[in-house]
Amino acid sequence: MRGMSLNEVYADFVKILGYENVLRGDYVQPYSVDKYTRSVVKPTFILKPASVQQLLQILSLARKYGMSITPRGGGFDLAMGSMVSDGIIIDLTRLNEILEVNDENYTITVQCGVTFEDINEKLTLKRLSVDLEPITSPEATIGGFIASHGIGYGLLRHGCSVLNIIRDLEVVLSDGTIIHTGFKNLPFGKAGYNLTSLMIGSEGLFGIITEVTLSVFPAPETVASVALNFSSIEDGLNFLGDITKRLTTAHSAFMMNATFKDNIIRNALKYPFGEFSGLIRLEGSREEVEWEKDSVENLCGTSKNNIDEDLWNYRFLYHVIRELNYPVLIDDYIIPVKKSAEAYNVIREIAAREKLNFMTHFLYLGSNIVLNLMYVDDIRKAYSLEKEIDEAINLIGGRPLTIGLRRVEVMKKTSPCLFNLLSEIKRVLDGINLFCPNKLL
Amino acid sequence: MSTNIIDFIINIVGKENVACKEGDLVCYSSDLAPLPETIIATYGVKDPSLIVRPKNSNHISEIIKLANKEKIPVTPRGGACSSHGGGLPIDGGIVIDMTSMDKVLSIDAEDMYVYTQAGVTFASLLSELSRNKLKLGCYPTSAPSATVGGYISNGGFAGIGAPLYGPIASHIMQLEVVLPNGKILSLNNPYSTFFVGTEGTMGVITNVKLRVFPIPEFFKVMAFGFDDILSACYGLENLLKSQIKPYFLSFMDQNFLEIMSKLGKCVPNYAMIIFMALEGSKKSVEMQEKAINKVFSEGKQLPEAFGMEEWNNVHKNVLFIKRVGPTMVAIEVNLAVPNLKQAIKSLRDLNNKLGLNTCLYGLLGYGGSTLTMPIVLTDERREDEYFSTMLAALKMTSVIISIGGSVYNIGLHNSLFMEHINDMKRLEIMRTLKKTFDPNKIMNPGKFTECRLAWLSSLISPR
Repeated sequence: MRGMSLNEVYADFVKILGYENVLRGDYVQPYSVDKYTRSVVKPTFILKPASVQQLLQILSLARKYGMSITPRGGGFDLAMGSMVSDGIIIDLTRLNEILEVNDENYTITVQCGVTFEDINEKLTLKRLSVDLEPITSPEATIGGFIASHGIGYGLLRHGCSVLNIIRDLEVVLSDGTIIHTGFKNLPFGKAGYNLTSLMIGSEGLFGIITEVTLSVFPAPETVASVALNFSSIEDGLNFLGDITKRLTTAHSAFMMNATFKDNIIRNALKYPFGEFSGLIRLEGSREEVEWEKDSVENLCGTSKNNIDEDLWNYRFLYHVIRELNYPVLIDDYIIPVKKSAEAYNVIREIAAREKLNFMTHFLYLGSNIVLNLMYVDDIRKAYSLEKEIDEAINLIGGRPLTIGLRRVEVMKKTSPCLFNLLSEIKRVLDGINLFCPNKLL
Repeated sequence: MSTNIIDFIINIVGKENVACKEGDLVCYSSDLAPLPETIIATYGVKDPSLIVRPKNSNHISEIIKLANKEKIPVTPRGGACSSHGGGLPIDGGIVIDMTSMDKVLSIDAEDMYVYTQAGVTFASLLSELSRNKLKLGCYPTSAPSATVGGYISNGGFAGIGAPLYGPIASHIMQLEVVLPNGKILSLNNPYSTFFVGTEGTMGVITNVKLRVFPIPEFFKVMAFGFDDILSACYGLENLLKSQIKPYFLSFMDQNFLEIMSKLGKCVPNYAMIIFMALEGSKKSVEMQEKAINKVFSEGKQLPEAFGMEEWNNVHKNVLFIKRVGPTMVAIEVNLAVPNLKQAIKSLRDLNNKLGLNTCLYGLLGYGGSTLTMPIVLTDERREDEYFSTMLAALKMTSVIISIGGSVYNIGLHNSLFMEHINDMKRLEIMRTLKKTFDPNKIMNPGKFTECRLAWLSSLISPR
């Protein structure tokens, strides 16, 4: 702490933010786990700035005292990206103002701590939409979503890439510099090197995203869902993959599987579906959506039995499980469509051997599938298996979606060249290594 | 270049893949828009000393390692379809002719991707894919000569398919890059995206895994003529609001049409024509057609024959009018559809003041972006005329930037605008990135973040 006592540092932060926005001691407890109860680490302070001005003051003090900073949004990251063993966590959820909805240029500008729920609510009033929801939770923040390479429902509408709707990011660098990475009024403004792309999946390493401008679209005339039960994972994946390629109104397509050794969780969830259920969400003009919905239903024939559309409401399934107070551990992987069934079978074998309850969620993303794996209940055992499953999926040709704190060591070994590349970028953008110092340098 | 170095390179790629005779070299010192001798001289553009045609990433890696050791400039070159000098080896040195890396490595019709060497032209990649009943989501109108790596290096956000499927960056599943230090790196999303649009200044794109798409069952062309430009612009704005995503959309103004007609094409006379190609299921195309008729109700629908002619010449149209020049100064700017009205008006005012006759051609990109091309025809052999035209073109770019547009690619000529588009902080970061990745400044020097044309600044103020 460079000669200062912890109390003196605390007092300095309180001067900027007020008592209620500086947490320490036992009050940091909620921040030493992420939303999915992973292992326990202990930050020194939690700071909750309400403005970029306050954020800059915090950075200036942190530099002075030589304390590290880890930014955090909603805490929905799946690989401990928003956790730190000591130093400062900056909780950005108070930077939650919607700054502008521009219906001429079709943009929305928000602060980083705004949740998707808030964005969608605001846009609905104006008959607009971003057509995007994180698969984790509607309570995830936009800044956290981008920094953790978030995946969402609706990406099929945006060429499968969130980059296609991000116009500009305001980023605060560790030396207090504020930069804009793009153009608010230009969907693809080339300015030289693509700094926006550097911030996607940067997990707080390079800078703090403080403001986001997204492209918005006219709200769709109508939406519809087709939910189906399948007899096997292969059957479902093939059917959904095939049909999604051909639909022009496809908004999202996913498949869920729940393998429980008993039905306690299933009953508690009121989970009304079969072992393998899939859903296609359509969105667009009424005429086209209705026509495509009919054609999907015709194609299903009699073998696939149509189930209630409520499956759409279970899209944030692990959110639902969390609310029932079941411990959940989640990992996310990106896997070629063709390999997804194989990945599933590997996971199932390992889980069966260890008698683990698990659920899987497959979201279609072009030629890949994002596989979310949720272990329910016996989390301790699940921890011990994470590495084995990481490796098995790697062998099949998939890879983890986020690096976080957990996979840095693995990445150093498996992709040293990428690790060096990121480290070099880190040296340019955060030469003093203020942000998440335990991760790259 | 010393014979030692040349021998070393011959050792890497073989004698038949190295060229250093004057006749060979001169072909590599210009692109789509040739420059007059005096401008080449004032720009300080040198002829390259050596052309290398590598066969794989290891070749390139070896060459770049050598270039680092010997501090030799390296300029990668694809089909040279840009008109901004991005592929010109202005400091001489080695040109890596990527067209020798043209193998399509694998096509996966189940997982829907193609893995290819970056030097393949879009035309030959598309023809391989079509044998598997597949196609690309996005490719440039210059497909017959443009290479996959060249298009990606230049950003690739506008083109055929882009309004519907998204820019090429979102189709890249994997990108192999030889970094300026010679290391070969394979990158997935999101890291791959950083290398899109770096124009060879951050390494050489060698292999690409791209998503592919099924060829849809139905295809249809439509064209509308407008008596005034404003109603055409409103039409485009309404198209955005309608959320219809055409597969391809281009627009051309009266001057452009007049030149076409001078060249013997049968084109109707309108202030602006909007041409579209639609695709999807039969039903979907029918519905798009209906909605588009409503959106463009201010315009007059043109006969299908005109649309088909336009589609059949989609790869040639812009080059076609070059015949009148014979030199074309094309300005490629990136504009949002809502800014189009103002941009066209400002360009017209400027042209009236300068007494220039510009024609306008443009493409719709993804998410309401456009690649707008005001084109001035001139003759590079009449140097005075060329120089004043070039200044006028730079002034036009400057006007577009002042109303919120940007440049489509940077290359040599547009490096002048880096300071207009970026504030000093952003530019500083980009320069530091470049310095960190390429400390010996060997990769495509004199472009992008390094501007050699500052002396032109005072001459291009729009006023």
